[in-house]
Amino acid sequence: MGTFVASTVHLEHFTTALNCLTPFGLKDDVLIYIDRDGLSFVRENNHVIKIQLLLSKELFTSYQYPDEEEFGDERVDADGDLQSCMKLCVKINHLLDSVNIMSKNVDDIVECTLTYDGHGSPFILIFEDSFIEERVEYSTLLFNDFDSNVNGLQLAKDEIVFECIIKGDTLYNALKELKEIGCKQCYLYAKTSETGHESVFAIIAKSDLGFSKIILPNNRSIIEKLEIYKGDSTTLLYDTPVVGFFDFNSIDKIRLSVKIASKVLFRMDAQQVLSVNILSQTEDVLVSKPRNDPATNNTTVKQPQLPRDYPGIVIEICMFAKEALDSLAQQDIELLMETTNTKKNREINYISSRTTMEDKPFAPNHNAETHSESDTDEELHITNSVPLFF
Amino acid sequence: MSFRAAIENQERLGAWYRGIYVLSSISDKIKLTISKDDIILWSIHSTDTSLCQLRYEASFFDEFVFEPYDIVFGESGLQIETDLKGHDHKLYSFEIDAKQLTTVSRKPDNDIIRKYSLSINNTTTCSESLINKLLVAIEMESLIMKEYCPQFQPIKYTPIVLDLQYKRKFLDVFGSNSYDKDYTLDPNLIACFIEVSKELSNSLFNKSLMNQNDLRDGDRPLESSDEINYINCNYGLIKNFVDNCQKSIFDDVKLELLERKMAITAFVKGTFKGSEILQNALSMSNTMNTADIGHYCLFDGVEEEHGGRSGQKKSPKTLIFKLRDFKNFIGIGNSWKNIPITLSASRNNDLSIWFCHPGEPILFQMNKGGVRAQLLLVTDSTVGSSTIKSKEPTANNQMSNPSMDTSRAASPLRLNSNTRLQKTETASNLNSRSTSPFKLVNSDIQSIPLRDNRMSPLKDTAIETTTNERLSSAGKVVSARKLFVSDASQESNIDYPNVQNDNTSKAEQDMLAQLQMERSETTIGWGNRSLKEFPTKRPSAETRNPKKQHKMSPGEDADKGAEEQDAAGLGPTQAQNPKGLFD
Repeated sequence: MGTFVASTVHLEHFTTALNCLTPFGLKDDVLIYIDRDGLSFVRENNHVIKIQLLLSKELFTSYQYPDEEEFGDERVDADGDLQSCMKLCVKINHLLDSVNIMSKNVDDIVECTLTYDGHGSPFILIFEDSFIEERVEYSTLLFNDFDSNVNGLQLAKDEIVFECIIKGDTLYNALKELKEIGCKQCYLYAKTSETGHESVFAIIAKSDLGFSKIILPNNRSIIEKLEIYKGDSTTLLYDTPVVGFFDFNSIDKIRLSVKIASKVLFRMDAQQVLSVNILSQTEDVLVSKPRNDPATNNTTVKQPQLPRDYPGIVIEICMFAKEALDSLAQQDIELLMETTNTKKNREINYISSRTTMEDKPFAPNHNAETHSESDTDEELHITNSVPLFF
Repeated sequence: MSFRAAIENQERLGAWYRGIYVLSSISDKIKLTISKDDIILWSIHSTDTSLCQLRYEASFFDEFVFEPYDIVFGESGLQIETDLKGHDHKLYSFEIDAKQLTTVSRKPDNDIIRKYSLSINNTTTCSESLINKLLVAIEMESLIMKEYCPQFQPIKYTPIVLDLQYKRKFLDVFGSNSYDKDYTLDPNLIACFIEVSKELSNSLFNKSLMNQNDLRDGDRPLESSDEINYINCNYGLIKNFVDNCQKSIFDDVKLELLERKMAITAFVKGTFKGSEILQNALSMSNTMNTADIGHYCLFDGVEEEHGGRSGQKKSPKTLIFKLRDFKNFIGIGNSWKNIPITLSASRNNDLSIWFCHPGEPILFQMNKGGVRAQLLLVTDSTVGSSTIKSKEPTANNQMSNPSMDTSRAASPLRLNSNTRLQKTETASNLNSRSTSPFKLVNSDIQSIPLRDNRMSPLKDTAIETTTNERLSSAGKVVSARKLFVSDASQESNIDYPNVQNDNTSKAEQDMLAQLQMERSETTIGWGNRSLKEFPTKRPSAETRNPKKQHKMSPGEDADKGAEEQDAAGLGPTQAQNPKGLFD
């Protein structure tokens, strides 16, 4: 028959994935697509930000998807092809609560089986450990269909302005910082240079403190790729900054997802749509740190390893920029960043001079020198600019 | 750059952050003053009840540049101070939102700060958006770089020099004696005098203090208004105590100096909290032997010129202040534990305390590794005598406030101390007490007589015991700890309290009157025990100048008592005895 059945023992991983959805509305409905490749969870807020999270079928020990012909639903997959699928809506917190409780059972391995029979039937979770079997049914009602094509919340892949691949943990630290300083609006700033040494990727926060800059390390191991295009996704541009302006609440929604990310891909198109692709490779995932230690320890012992071929949680988040920046605002931001650049260059000099001296104890004199040099530079600059000021 | 300072060392960073946190707990504005030698941060509570000041020397920072001459914007923060030697010092001061400063000065969770730098660029090169901004740049170990630029408001520095005044007074009262060759002063104390005097003379804001020539002449008798007390004690002693005090439970702290011990009590004043009755009337105290305290100078004697009232007993020196700020302040010291010490910087992690009378601010100071932290806290005034804090333990007070107050006044500490004292007392003491007129009066807990008894053995000379007359022993700083033995226990309110008490007593019933009468009859002279008869510089002091400055503690009152006792032939042991109030 046309029944979908899948079972998994990786409940903790399942919970981790579902947690990424919570910033998008804990008590709201999430749309689940079931297709041959796995389960996709989709959630959209106010038509300006959308998350799509894929749990690949490799996570499940058994995955049985009914013959395609029996379902009329179709969706456009990542390749633009139409694909048949099953759709249903459940509330995130319902799902999360059930899974959460069961995944706390650290003494035993719990197997969870998901079944769905198509329109009109409930979505059923069956939890089974050595002694107990629990069955949870959620009635489903499909009243919300997020269609990315209609509202345009989709990245125009041939009009990309900038693209950046960055390590998840570093980005997470930066996002956390935004939250801690009470950020209200934020800017993504990217600028490349031909040599790559002076490329900058930064998050600028506007808060009570005024503008704060969080500059992510310009370092191959952290920013794997940073490219700016002329709006056609191919022609590289140098020394032209790109600025995206976002509401902090939107940006902050990606924080939980970034937390489990190994890599994050930012892409922004000319229409100011930002797409964030998050890949959490299984070996890199900091599996839900807040979990208490004993549980995690036990888990590592008892819980089965995630399957080898499991690609990890794949998340795509698309959001609109708050508004397009006018040239004046853009200039402001550029100006703001320029003040940093000079300083940053100085720091780079400082660091490189330091590394060249590796083995020698770092002489304070040298330190002073570097600064006096920069000071003199600055003084020169001063004399040049004085007329401008007066 | 008009100003740039950077910290790389983690311990120092911790000290910096903690300092800012404490300042922000006092007020929502933090004021900074930068000079070429140091940065001073301070904040004062909006009701002027507490003032915390932190001074970071330039050597505290791994980088420190101050170029006031370039400043063209925000010049209202510029100020030139001329020191006593005629040198000009440029200062730049501003005020910044405490919350913003703490936001950018906090330890990150999963990362380490490699470098923390502050700068101001109010020169002509400054871009318009950065005028009057404090540029905070933080380099993380993860190579993330954070930059903040909170706005500040240039202001003029209006120093509050109460701390200098206290130190000035301290030197005046105790310092001059310290050089008497006849006395062996505790070298630590001498070092302290030297340091304080150096600090006074180097301070930029000492004009009003240094110029006044009204420093006490050597011959001028000390008066109660001269009272100043100094204690130096190990930071750990206080910290252990404070760590056990929960801010949510305790409101106030009482510092008491008894003859041989120093007691700190945290207590809850109110018996009502919320709608609950008497749930939280708690107190917790630590008592430490004076021998464990560092050097100290306590103001013993005052002439009892105040009319007939002289005969009051001395109470222990007691001060009551709020726990909250004190606890925060003590926490600063904790963050200094491993701070690297530069050559020029001091030294041990001691806590110095200066205080005068109850009701006047108490000054705490810690100094280490190029940081100096000061806290000025108001203390409860004893005027009302009814307040728990009233230090006037003296019989008068108690008598006057027959009821609750007195009982309250007898804080658990006192009881404890008393009881302890009693244990030590010798029979002779008891006798002496019985003889003393006070005792009758002093039925109250803290019997004055104790004080009397307390004459330290050291004070041979001290004994000019005339009733009604106070012995004034010339105030001398007795440095040796031995001296301390002298009556620390008595309640400190020396003479003035009497006056106050009188007032209060007036309102009171017959009881009071009787009591007063009695007191007047029995006057105890405050003998300072100068080990030697005030041989030196201030011979006059002996005559009747009650100034007693003993390093020794508070026991001057005791001295009086001691004098009497001495007259009675009580031995040195009496000093110990005096405590048994209950007897």
